[in-house]
Amino acid sequence: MRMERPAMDDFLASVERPAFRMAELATRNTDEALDIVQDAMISLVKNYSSKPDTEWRPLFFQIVQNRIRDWHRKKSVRDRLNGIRNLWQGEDNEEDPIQNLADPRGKTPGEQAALKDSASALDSALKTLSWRQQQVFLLRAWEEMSVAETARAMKCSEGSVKTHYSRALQNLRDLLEDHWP
Amino acid sequence: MTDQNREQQFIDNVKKALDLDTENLDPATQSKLTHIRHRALDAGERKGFDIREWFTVPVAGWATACLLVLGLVFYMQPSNGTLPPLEDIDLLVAEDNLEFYDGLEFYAWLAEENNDVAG
Repeated sequence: MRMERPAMDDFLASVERPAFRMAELATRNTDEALDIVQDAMISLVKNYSSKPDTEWRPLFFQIVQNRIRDWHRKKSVRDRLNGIRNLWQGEDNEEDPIQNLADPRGKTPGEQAALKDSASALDSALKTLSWRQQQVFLLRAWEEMSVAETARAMKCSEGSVKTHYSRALQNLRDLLEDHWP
Repeated sequence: MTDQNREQQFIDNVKKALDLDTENLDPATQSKLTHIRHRALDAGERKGFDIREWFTVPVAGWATACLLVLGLVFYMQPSNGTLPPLEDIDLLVAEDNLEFYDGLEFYAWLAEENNDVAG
């Protein structure tokens, strides 16, 4: 079955920015986020363009989440290897531990400074969440995906989705209460 | 306002902020996203082209094409000595003629013998 280029183009144009933002928040790196979006788009177009267009959205975000999960897995291995190497070389952690110490409500001095307007406050607040909480929250609240769709995209149970969402929401409300009480 | 309403209001605010954030994406990043999208669509079309070509060409057409290719391969294959090349055929024919002329006397004698028996 031939791909309907205009329909697929419209669809990808409608999801490219949210997908990029999700990937950027998860990786905190623009280039990595662009790579993730590119991989997801190519995978969707090559493997699922023959599916009904109503299925494209959940499939696309499922692929994006798979790529983000792969990225975190690789990063975790890299971090462990770097940790071992630093230990071996006897390098000291040059970062100020006080600076990185989070207060019970998750607001570090750096984060406090960033909370100057709502958008940057939200950005900072989202970055304090674990990537799973963050992505579940974005899929549920922003993309308005159902619990079942989110669970499929995140490859976890619906119970986990509810837990992650509830904790993410509570943390964000606490962090942003000065902006959106 | 109930807590549920406050929660919904909070989510609406988050959505507005995220939408605003993506609408105001910097031009360089937006340009990269557009480029990525077009590249993905091109990749999809290349893949679609291959599949279509393989499955829509009639089977009879493929069979004819295969026969033509096979015929061409056999025709172009160099001789291995089992069959004489075309230019040798005249020589072979000429050799037969020489044998025929060498035995001409024998054939004349055979003809006479046959006539005597018949007579």
